[in-house]
Amino acid sequence: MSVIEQPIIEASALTMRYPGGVTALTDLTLSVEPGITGLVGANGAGKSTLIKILLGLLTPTSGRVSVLGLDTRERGEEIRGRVGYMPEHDCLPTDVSATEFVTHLGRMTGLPPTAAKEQAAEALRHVGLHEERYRQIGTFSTGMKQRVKLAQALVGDPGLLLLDEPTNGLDPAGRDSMLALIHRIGTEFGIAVVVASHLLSEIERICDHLVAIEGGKLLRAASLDSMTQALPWLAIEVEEGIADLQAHLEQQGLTVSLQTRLRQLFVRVDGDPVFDTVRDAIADLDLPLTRLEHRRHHVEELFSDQQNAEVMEAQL
Amino acid sequence: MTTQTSVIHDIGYKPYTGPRLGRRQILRALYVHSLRSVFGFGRGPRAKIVPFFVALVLLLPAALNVYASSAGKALVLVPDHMGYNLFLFPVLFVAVAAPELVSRDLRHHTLPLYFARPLRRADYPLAKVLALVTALFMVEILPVLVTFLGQVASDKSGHQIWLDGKADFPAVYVAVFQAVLFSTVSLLIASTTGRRVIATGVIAILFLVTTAVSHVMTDVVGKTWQNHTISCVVPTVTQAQAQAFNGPVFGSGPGGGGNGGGLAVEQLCSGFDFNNDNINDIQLAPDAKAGYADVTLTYQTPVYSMIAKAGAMVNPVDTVEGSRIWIFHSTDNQIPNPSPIGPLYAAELLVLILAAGGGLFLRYRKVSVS
Repeated sequence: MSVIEQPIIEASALTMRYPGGVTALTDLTLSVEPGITGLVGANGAGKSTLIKILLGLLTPTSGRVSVLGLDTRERGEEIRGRVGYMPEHDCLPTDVSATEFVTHLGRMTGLPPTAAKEQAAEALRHVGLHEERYRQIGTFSTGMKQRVKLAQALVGDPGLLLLDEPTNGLDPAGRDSMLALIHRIGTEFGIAVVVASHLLSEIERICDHLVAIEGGKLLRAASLDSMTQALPWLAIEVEEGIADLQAHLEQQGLTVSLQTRLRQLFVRVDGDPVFDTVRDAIADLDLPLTRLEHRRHHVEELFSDQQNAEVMEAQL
Repeated sequence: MTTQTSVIHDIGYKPYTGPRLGRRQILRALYVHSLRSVFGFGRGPRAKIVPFFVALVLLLPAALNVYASSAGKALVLVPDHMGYNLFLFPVLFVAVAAPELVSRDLRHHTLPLYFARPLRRADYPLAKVLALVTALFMVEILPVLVTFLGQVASDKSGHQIWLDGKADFPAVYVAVFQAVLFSTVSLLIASTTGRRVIATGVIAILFLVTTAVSHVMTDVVGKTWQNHTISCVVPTVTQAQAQAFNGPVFGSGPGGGGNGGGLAVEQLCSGFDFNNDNINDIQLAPDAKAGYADVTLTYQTPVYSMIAKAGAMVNPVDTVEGSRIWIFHSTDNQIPNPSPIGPLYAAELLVLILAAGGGLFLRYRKVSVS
């Protein structure tokens, strides 16, 4: 983390207003480091708009973006030659073989004929379709089609992969293997990956960094380490005497935050003794305990629950 | 050997270090790919049926022409008429090829993958237009070329080769402009739908309906007949020639004024050009008798009103043909001579090409990439 690397994506004061008057992005400033970055947001949050701007397909109303050190306004062509894009929706013809399709798109990326064939075979091998590469895409399952979509983005060794909802339509097993594949691409292949998804719980497993946008605004950007480090909270729900418990725990020197909306008490877990302290406190006060929950991996709540995020800010 | 120690790792992924081509070369690759797919290369055998059928049908008259040239007979179908007489086949060609080129990508939403690559928005339609124009031009120019080569093989003198080449040249004009006009119009239509069958249908209907309208306008609404009378004074008419007058030459009815008769009259009456002005019927004056030196002929020529001439302009096929007639001062025409609005045909041709091509580029500038 201490090594300062050149950001893969840098956006400053990015605003995108569509001609119809819809504002998709407002004053978005972010920087994406190498590695796997999750781009999280609800549907309509502006993820796809951001991706189109990154590809130089949309010109932002104001602000600047650079991808791989190239300005999107001036050098969109070069960027598109070095960035692999996997769209969210179905984009595959049914009546050609996977090899033909990926080879053709390799040519469209700028590979010479022979190199395109080799790279297409490589890309299909990496996504696990080596055996099926001569089959018509129409005969593929949804999971295999997603892999072809990934292969066409991967062909030609891109410096950055933009994946828009790569696990869409997959069953749990398919999701897991797709995520494992993306993780492998991001780590072993050394390709920077941006994964856009509305399912944070899913991509948090493979991401090094997370960027959350909501309503076209940056909600939060941080490396996942800092988030998970900051996260260990113990949520306590008691039927009564929540204020007494808070006072008691604070006396013990714990970091406590009262979540009025949830009617829960969040206690920061600094170490194992915290659990004992909490247990003893509840026993001493003789409070009716209804819930005791360890909240380590629910990163999602950071984004969905503004209040929780504010607690976090206070603590960081 | 250097002192450097080398270790082989199974790294699994090998970054690509070879050359990366620029936008122009990618555009060329898309052009070649599209051109191949027009003829069904890289597709199944079914995709090859229509393009090769059309190419073969267009080659039939050319093959007959080669035979006719070698046998010293008149051509079966002169090259400048090929484009017009056989227009159904080029239309069939583009009606199948244009949807193959652009509707497929719309149907399968493949366009975002193209536009997420170095190509610019305008490059995609440009490659498609160039590919279809090239393909149709190749298919149309081949029979012209075959006919010309057949003529060359039978020609006795260099001058004759020159004359044949000059006569065949308007066919090149027709091939070029049918290729450009048909391609841009059909691609524009095909680019509006992802369903190939519909695109094919609309393209075919457009050409057939405008052809029908054009025929109604020229032959039903806009055509009147003008009577002509000419007298020929032929000093000596042999008995044999006189008898010919009585027979099919001047006899009324379907046989009257046939081609053979027209030639006989042409020989007898100087200054009379049977092939000119679309002479449909020749009748002998009632008092003309065989054996007489003085022959009075009446004949009719069609007169096309401006309605007929303007009406033909609704049809792209007639637009190309009319502009050919105007530019090359052609006389053996099958549609009304556009004079005096010949320039209008040429202007319409250019406007149609620019409008269809421009529409296509606008279509792809606006196409959404989601």
